[in-house]
Amino acid sequence: MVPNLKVKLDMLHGDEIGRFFQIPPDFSTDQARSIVDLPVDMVLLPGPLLPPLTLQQLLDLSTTRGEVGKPALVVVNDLPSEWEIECLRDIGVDGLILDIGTAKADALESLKQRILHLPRRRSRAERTPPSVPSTDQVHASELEEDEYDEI
Amino acid sequence: MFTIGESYATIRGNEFYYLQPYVVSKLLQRLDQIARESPRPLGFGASAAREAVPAMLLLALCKHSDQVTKKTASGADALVFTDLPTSRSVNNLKKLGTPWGVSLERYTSKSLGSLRDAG
Repeated sequence: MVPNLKVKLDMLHGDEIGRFFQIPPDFSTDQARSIVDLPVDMVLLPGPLLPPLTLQQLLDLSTTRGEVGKPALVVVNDLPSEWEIECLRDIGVDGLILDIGTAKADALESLKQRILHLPRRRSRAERTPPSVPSTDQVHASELEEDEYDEI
Repeated sequence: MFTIGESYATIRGNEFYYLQPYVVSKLLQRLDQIARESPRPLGFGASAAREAVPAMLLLALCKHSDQVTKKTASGADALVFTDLPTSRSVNNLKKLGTPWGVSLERYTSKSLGSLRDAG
């Protein structure tokens, strides 16, 4: 795990290990976008998260996740609910790291079971509401037709 | 996961990941397995002997590498330690067979090299 940006590049060299980089909370979106070219394999999104999670936390994670072109994980200090796990999965979180030092004794097994029984991920088409043309678009198409008729 | 020249690539949902040749660790292979979410095969007896693939990776973050039990190791796809594992811990971890890693904040290039050699 690469905990900060002061780690020497020498330590990230090698063919046989995976490296994940902990994104600091104050990372800019430009910096997050540039991670794709760094010699790390995955990222840890800013955390740790302590359930129950808020919509604001999910939004912040989703914003960062959207900028990072690498698989992303997040540390949780305790057991999230099935719905919270589903929300994290749906914003693109690829994995959870449970801090077993802070979580309850059987939290790891419970979390494993919850992940195993997550409902199937909805496709983007299912999640996107049907688009209804706005009045502006209707006017534009009508105008085009009118122009065509005149020609 | 598939290859493009000497590099690896994988498609996850609507995203495309390009991976350098050196980054294909056990954990990434597991992640790729999860990402595939292969459909159930058709036919009689297809449901038997099929491993349930979880929707996400699950890692355990442990402060002390010598406190890892078999139960912890089997419940997680990988283990991450924040301490400096002793040679005894490293031997135990080898026996457990679960991929593991460390936080680099306490390491130098030399100590990391010796840990890497130890497995």
